[in-house]
Amino acid sequence: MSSNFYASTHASYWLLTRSELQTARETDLKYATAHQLYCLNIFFASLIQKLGKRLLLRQVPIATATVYFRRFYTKNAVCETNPYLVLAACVFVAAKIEETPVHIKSVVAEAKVVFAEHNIKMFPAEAHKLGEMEFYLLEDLDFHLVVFHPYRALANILGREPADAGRYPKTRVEEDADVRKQEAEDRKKREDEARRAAGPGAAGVKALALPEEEGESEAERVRRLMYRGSGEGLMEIDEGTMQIAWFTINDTFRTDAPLLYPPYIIALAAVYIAFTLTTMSGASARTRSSTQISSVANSLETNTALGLPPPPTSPAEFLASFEVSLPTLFACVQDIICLYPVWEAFEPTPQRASVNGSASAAAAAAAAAAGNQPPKPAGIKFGPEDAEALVRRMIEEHMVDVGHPDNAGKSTPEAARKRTR
Amino acid sequence: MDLAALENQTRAERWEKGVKIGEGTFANVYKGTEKATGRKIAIKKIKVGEMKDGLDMTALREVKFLQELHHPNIIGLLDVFSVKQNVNLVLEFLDTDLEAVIRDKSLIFQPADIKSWTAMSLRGLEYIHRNGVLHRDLKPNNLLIASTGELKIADFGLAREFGDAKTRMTSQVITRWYRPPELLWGARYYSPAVDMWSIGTIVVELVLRVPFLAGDSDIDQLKKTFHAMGSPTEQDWPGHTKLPDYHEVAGYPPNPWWNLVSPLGRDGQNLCRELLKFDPMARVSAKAALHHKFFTTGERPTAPILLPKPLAELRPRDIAPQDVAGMPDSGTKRKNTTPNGTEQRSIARKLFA
Repeated sequence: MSSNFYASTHASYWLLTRSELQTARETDLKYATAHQLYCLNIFFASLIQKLGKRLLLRQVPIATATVYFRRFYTKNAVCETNPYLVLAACVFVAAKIEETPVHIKSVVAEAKVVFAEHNIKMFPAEAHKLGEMEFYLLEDLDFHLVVFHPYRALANILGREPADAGRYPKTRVEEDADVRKQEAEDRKKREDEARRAAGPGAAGVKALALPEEEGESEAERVRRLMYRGSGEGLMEIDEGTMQIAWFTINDTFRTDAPLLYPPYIIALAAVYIAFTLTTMSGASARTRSSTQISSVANSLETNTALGLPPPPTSPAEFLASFEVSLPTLFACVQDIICLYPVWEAFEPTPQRASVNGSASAAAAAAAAAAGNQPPKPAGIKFGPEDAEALVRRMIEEHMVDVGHPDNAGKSTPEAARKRTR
Repeated sequence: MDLAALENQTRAERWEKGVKIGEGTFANVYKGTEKATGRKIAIKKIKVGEMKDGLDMTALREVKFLQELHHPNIIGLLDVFSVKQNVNLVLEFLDTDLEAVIRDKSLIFQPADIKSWTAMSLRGLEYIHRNGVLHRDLKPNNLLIASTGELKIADFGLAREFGDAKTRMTSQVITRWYRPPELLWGARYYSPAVDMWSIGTIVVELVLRVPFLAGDSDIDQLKKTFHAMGSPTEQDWPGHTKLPDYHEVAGYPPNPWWNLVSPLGRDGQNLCRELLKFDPMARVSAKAALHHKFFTTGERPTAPILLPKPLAELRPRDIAPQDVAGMPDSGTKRKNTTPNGTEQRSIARKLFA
């Protein structure tokens, strides 16, 4: 499903609000702080990434798996489930849905290896259990399996979708000339008819009540000619910025962004962050990309020939040319940059750099520079080892509470008495 | 009971399951009704419990695409729910399929009827392609007919996205008789044109009342194709000799095969030729085909309700695409294990229920 996001199940059912997420996490918040849960999600996303890489999956199936995982936990609590089994099931289903299936036994085998590295013993290494979990996962996803990712939106925004370039048999100039010719002919025909209808006597009278222009308006024309997805007439974005935006999107799967925002907002937010970083480091070398189809000079010329406004030249102008809600865009940017300080504290850089390149570190600096205060770890050190322990503790404590539902986990004398009776 | 399970139960209770009307490798189909309205529906029950290696790719694809595609000429997925370890798809109930209509020799087709079926298939297909999906298994059997006479495309078990032109895909798709020559020669990069060929063969079949190109094997299929239509030349189809499994099937002289469909008139013949061009790049797209003169000149297409329809009830038949020569590119082949229906759930959905 590559085209209509707006009619998709993703848009209709899986763009949630912040308060819905909050409600979904109530149970888990009894056993862990919000900060710890945030870190847990980073932890799980990293595990999905590792498992996906071991199974030789590409970025898109991995992203789909992560989104499935997050969607599943909007209906379930970590402490009530075996997150490692869920995680493996997500990878298994996502691989099939993205047409790069892996055998259930390889998923189990590779998952065993990945989890062993992290000293995780909860994973039941049996294929039939994974098969059963797959079923529950599908059920909780409401069998909505198509996920739209920001990668495609990014390629489109930055004019790097060569698939579209071939769809236009005519160049913009030719197309425009044809449309105008057609319109002129139509107008002439209408005038002739009006004249004939008015009779020979009225021939001199200028076509009276001609409906003023059924042709397209200027705004429609600009829209038709500017955004053909071929990169023609768009601002030129260099490869470095594109790469940083791409890496930033990889990182968004560690945040709630995929549940909260449609993919084009996330892609634009990533572009915004990439712009900020490249201007900050002064690394906006204008190396012309080979992937972008037409050069700036070319775009400029064509635009002038067509009497269109020139392509935007500054990042601000470029971002403004997309008619999206700025508050939403900036909320998304905020959600993304909040990730980095937390992530930095949770999994210090050297380990992470190997996975994601330098983008994240740079973005962390950007977040700090923007004066954005992340949710502070409150002085508690919390790393991946602690995450594994926390999952176990949450499940154990929840088990105790389920056994004694009257007093959510706190052993009061009263409850103790009840038990002895 | 937790919320998700409760939701599922409410959904399941909306539908009443009736008699079995079809059986396939991965699913059974039952007749059913919507309790509230009495509307007839079909329930496709996918046997998950028996699948040791996880849910079948074909079943997943079907759910995946039908959840997203909504069009009057595509079978409607009304609901999905699960009972025990089975996934149940609630589908529109459709009386019959185009294959049954073609085989029923007591029915007489007018050119306008064929025009109507062709238009409805193309409309559904245009929507599918517009949404970036290839069907990859079009055949009369998968074009279902509603009681109102409307044609609906079904069975998305082999469908997939084609968003990225660089994606390698398997050439083992589409039931052989409806498979285009580029797939028979092993093309791994292909386009919606493959579905257009299938439509072309179906239109010819509607006239002939027997499959147009009925090969016994993949090689025989190519022979039959070129025997009927003449071997392609470099001019007809530039670059076809470079296809991965290319072997020469030359020597068949050009043949004015379109005389076979002369009842459709000149425009109909022309549309068939556009649909059955050897070169996939030259083959007409669904959108362009809908704008073909065939539909706007001469007799108007028959209104769906007036189309010929067999009187017999839909007979039980296989619904899985097992008659496809090669199975899809799924790494998850199901093993032939005996079903173990009595086995209890081995893990709880939650750690503690």
